[in-house]
Amino acid sequence: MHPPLEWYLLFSGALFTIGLIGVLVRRHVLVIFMSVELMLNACNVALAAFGRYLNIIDAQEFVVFVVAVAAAEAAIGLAIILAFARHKNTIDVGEMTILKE
Amino acid sequence: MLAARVQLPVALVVGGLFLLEIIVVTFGNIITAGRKGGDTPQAIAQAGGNVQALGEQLFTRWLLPFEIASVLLLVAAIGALYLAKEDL
Repeated sequence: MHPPLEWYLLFSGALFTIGLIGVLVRRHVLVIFMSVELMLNACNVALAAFGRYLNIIDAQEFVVFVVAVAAAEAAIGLAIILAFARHKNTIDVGEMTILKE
Repeated sequence: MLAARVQLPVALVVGGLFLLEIIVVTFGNIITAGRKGGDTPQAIAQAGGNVQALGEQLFTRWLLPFEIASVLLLVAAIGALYLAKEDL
């Protein structure tokens, strides 16, 4: 009836790998941002699966809080990208070197 | 240098505390990983379903983290508005 725990973990690992490859390979900053969110949600899937497996409902509460924090992070990240795009007129990650100076 | 002389005793104290913590966690029988909890599907169904059980826990046991998360979202919205201003 329900899939076993390993399937959820495989799915979570696949999502995390896709996000990691996206962060490492892509050059567009918005795509990198989406890949980071993908990795975060992969961890959420694993947390919920373990909570269901161990019969602990607190895991789902933590998933709710992680989603809330991810929303805050997405808002701040997009605002930073917007400010950077206004400042430099580009969003290529190769140009993001102002913290090195 | 003052910092170099203070560093060693402070490091020894902090390291000893961490060692003590590791010993307590390892041999104190307080690890709960792998133990099954009480929220079985039957218990959740008796509480009125998953959403009902989740909401009841969220507004009783996790009420303070819920409020802190709401304040965090408010701060994030205000910060995003400030960062996205035209004349930053």
